Amino acid sequence: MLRGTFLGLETSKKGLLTARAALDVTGHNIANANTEGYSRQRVNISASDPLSFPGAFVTIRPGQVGTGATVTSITRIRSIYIESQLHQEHGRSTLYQTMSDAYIRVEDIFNEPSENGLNSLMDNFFNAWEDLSNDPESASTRTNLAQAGLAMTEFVNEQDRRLDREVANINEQLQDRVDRINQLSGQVAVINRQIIQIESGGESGQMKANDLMDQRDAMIEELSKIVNARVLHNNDGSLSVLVQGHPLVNGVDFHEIRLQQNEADLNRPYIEFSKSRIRLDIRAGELGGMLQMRDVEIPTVRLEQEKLVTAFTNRVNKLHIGGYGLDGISGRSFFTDYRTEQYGGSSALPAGTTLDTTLDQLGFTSGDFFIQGQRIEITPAEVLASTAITLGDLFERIERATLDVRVSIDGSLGFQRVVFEQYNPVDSDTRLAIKDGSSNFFEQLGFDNATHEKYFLDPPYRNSLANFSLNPQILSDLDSIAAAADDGTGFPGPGDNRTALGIADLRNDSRALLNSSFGEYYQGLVSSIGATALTAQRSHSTQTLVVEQLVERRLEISGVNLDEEAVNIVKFQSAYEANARALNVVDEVLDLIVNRLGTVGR
Amino acid sequence: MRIPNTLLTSNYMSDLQRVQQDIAKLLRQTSTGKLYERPRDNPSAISTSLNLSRVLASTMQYTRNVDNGLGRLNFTEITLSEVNTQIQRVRELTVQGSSTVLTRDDRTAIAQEVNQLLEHTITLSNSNFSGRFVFSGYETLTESFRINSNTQDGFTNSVTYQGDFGSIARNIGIARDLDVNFDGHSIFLDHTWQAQGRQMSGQPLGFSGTFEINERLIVVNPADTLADVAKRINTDTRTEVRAEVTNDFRLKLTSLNSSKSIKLRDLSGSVLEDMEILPQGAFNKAQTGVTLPLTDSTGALHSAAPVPGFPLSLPVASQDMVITLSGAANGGFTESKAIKLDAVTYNSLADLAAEIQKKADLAFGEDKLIVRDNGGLLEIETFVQNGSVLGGDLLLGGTAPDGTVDTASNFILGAPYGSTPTPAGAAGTDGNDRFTIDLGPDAYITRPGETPIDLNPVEINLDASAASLQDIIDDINAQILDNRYLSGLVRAEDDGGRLRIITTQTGIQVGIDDLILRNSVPGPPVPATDTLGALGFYVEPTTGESAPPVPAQVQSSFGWPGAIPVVLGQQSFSIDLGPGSSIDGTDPAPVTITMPVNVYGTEAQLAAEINNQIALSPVLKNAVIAVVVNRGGTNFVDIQTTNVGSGVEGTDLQLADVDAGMLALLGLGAPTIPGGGTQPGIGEITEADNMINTMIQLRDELLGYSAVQSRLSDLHDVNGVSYDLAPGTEIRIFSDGSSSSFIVQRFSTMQDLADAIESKLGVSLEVEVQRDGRIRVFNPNNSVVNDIRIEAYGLKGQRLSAFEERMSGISGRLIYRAELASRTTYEDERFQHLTNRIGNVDRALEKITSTLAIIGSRTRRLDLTLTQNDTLNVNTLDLQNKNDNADMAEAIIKLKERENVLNAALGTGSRVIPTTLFDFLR
Repeated sequence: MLRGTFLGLETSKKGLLTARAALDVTGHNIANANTEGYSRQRVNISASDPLSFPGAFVTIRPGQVGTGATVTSITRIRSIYIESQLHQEHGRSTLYQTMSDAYIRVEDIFNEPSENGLNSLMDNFFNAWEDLSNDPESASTRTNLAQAGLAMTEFVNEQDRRLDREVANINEQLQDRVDRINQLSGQVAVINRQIIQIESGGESGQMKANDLMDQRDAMIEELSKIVNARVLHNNDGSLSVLVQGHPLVNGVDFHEIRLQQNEADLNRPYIEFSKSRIRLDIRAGELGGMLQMRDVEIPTVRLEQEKLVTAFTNRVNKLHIGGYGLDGISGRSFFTDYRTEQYGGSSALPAGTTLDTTLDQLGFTSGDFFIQGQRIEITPAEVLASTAITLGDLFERIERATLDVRVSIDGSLGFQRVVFEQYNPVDSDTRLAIKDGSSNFFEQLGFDNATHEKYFLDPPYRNSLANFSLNPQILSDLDSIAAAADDGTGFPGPGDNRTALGIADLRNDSRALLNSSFGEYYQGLVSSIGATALTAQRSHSTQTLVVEQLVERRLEISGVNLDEEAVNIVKFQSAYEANARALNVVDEVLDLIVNRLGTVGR
Repeated sequence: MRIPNTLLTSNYMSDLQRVQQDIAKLLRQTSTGKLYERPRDNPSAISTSLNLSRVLASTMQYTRNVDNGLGRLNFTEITLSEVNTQIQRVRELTVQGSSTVLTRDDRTAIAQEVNQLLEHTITLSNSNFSGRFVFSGYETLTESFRINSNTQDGFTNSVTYQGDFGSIARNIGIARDLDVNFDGHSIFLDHTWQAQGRQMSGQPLGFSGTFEINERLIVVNPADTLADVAKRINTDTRTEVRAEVTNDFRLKLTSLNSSKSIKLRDLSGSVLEDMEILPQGAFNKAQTGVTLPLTDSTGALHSAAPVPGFPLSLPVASQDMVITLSGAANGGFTESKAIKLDAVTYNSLADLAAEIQKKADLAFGEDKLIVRDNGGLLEIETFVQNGSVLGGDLLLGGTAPDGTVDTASNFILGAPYGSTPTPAGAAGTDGNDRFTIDLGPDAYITRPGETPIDLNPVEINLDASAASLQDIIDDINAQILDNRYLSGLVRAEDDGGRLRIITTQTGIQVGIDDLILRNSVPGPPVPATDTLGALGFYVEPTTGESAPPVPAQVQSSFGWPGAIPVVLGQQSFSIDLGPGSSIDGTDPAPVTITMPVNVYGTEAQLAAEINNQIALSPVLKNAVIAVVVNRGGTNFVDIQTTNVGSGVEGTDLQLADVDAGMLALLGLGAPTIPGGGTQPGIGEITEADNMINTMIQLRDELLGYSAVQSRLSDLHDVNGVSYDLAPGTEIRIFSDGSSSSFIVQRFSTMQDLADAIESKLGVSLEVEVQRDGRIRVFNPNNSVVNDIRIEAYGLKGQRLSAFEERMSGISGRLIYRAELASRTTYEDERFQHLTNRIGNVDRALEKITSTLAIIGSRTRRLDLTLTQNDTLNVNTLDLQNKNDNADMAEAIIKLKERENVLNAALGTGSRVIPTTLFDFLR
């Protein structure tokens, strides 16, 4: 059996086509050298199936003749491992970036260090009290003090508004991100479908929808920056995207998510799947960062600041109420006082009980009890007749241990009883919590059927930052600022500066707020904000480097090197030329057969 | 490794970006000068920065406070210096005025000058500093003193203090306050009557009882602290008595009315005694020391009680004082040094303080301790004064490295002694007087080789033969010497007429309880058989011929208030009138006087009742009279004969008990104090007339009259007709439907009458004697008082209508007219009066000087604080600078460096990046 006459032509044609295809792919690579997300492609060339010619060379078994080359597939050069690593690291990077950026605004809200931050404002406030103590009779020091107080309350009110606005901003952005996730996952599902169609068209593993896959990869990369997405590769060429183990995209299907209003807390909508209503707890990516800021960081900062302001208001007011104004009137608070709750004993104290009555006289035993979760202890020595402390001492201990509780002997019901009152709590949700312990404190004070009253204020009480304000009486009449003290015999006189001295001394009170002074507490708060912000920023920088390195690794593998492509062009061009030349040879052979053979007889 | 082209550019870009970020940061540093902009830039440095700015703000404020305080103190100092000048001049004038060769015109001229000085002093006392009256306490907007002037001649009659006793402080550092004011009352209307109690603690007193102050009931509960008691007294006796707790926890009572004493009496328990307002026994204290670590942070010590008696007549005993200085007060080192004091006589406490200061400087180095006279207290204070100096950083006592044992803990230069002079013969005359000396363990402990034990009290029996105080002292000392437990440990001595018993052991632990004296025979009743001498009476020596003639007189040796009120049953004593004092020359038999059952609240009431009884006896009537006499600040009831003749002798009037203890109950003997002891009266009374009063009286005396001292029996009306107010005349005071009476005594003065009227009318009205001799009833409250009527009844019960006065519907002021006719009655006594005044002027001077010294020490402390604050300020600024501010040079160099990197990168990048193989093909 002979080989076909035109076999050589066919072989060369295949060679030409193969070289041509290789040149095209190289050109595609060069064209996309700077395309974002483009993976270089490679032509896989293999020899085409040979023809068998029995007896062509050996008679025993057929010989084989090559039929040239053929393009088996065009594949993307890409590492799935690096890809999945990148997705994770992107998520972390954007988490920290979001936090770091959001903290810039929190830091701006505190505006430290500067001449206008609360640190300076508090200093000015206390200095104004000192100035008043130097000249309690003058009107100008009072004006100055009121201004210093106003500057402080306005600053704190503004902090409250800006913290609220920050939360509102985050919620807006959350909606935006959720929309974007739905958009992206929808597109991924669409591309999945196209890829399945294309790839199912050819022999297994031969048809590759390379450029679609690149597009899809770019979308997933964007997704992974928003949420912590994990990718599963399906056999049919499609991808599934999982968030917290729940599929966002599953092959050609995608599951919409939405921002759902939180009935319990209107300021904190949460994210859930629209259909299954599975709630998503997102910990990474931009979304993770926003939720962390909204639900943890900002509330913590806010609470600390609220504690400071609550304690500040109550400590200053306590002293101020006990002092006398220039007009000879006492009992007014300096900052507006909001009484929110009250617990009072139901039976009368022993006749003649005063703040100076000692605990042994009241029949107290040692032990403990709890106010606002703080343990108050009465030691055995404190109820011994010789060393007993007074009821007033105990009340002061309670007030010191808590931020917002004042204890007093009240006669409003027609008999003397002990009353716990909550003033200016950190927020409207904070309740007055009183719990009995091992002491007989409450029994002795007649708390068996304590009367409890919660005050509904109009306008409603929000929190200590929002409600921090100067008592309007103080503003309308500066003489009502109390510089004078009360020693039980009425207004001592315009020159008395003891209350002013006392309030000024609060700045040095190292137990003003949970065993630190106001300044130290605030300093700790600012420093911890800085530290958290710094951690977020540093983590972001580190994470950016990790991402950059991974991107480099990806580029190393998938990126286009023009030199390499140039060499390929030269190579495939030469292949093309050579094939053409081979074709010429066949042509000439055929020419010889067709045109020269048989001319003998002519 | 493959290097794709995009990798080259992307790496290049991110590197460029990093450099550019650096440049941006450095640019910001150079433009703002600050190292950080926001907390994240360096959280710990920001924390430091906030702290430093707080420190800076408060330090600057403290400096402002100090400046303000200095301004006020300096002003006060200048004012008081000028007052000092005035008083100095007054002193000169007083000396001049007491000369006997002056004419009346000379004296009038001097009086005029005194008056000018007085007016100027009052003006100074009303000084204001930028609109604030500096001597008004808290009432800074009220003039310190209101002038009550005479309607006739416009002379200032008296002044009324309108301020209060508030002390105004400046905050000069963390928990450091300094008072910058002085109330005008204590400077210009000096404490006139003062009673000071025992040293207590700040803790609840633990005892209870009731007592009275000026007839107002004060209840003491076990839970009360001394401060509570003081507060209660102040609330109840607002305008009369000021109670305060001294730095060393004594209750101090000050009479706010210059002419009134404080009347105290126990109603139950032994409150006054427990507080030792009434001294326990005649000898109430062991020697005690100055171990009083204060709880404040300044590391100051001061003596437990004002150091009395300067200038000292005797040298201070040669003794050692061990001072231990540690902690921040001594740069962290603990050192004990002995300060050796030689036996030297010091003229003032300040001299003594200076001596200790000098030696302390030598021992510890300068700038470690401040020793000074702080208003009569010897005060030792650490030089360094800030929050880190603790009370325990300065201690007195212990043993110095050289083996010196401290004796300074007993460093008191006066105490102890009986609080009134012990008259010879008052004790130990009947062979039946004995008392015990109880020595506590600590007074004994320093005796080597013996185990410290608390021995039983040792009884001392006084010999009946003692004729003088020295005899008694010798007697006691002899018995001490004989006793092997007391020998060498206790000593009796004469302290200017007072008997003093002290421990000689001066070990560091000798405390106040280590020497206790008790009467062996406790309490009353004094046996009826006892002699008058044992009851505190002694006979005033009188001689018939010697001039000036005086009435025979039995004088009580003990003051009255301790026994008020006296509750009498039907009790009697006898008065025996001798021949020289009886009218017809015969010696009548003793007349028994029986007192009716009654409660006598005042000395005057008691005297009046005795006079009532005397009037019933034809023998005694007009021959004997009971009078109230003020001696040494205490009222005494004396019984005396009315006739002053050459034949009257001391023995012409004799008293005898009929019922047991009668005289004692009358206060003429010794009232009993629960717990033993027989010493009546108010504890530790100091009396000094105030500055303003002294000047007013001086002026009036120079002018030749003193209405306050004028005797009622010398009164005349304006027409020169004599009022018949002989001794025994009864003046009845009616008000609001009730009446009380006042019996004119031989020596009753206008002031006595005014007091009687005031005690009748109560505190809502002020009654005072005007300079011109009229009694003024002043109603400060503008309230209406109904019908005040005053009637006088002569000795025969006849109504003296010329003297009557009636007033009602009082609002504002009304003057009770009782004018003096003679202004020259006391011409003879003037010399004596003026000489006495010098003492008062000197006290006024002392007051001013000591106040100026206090101002000086405070000013010095403020200056010191200022310096410290400046240093602190500079250091803080420096720290803040280092912490907050960018180092410009460094920043600029770094900037330049980054700029170079950027330029190089850009240059290379632009050349290298584009090259590929394609450039070379073809």
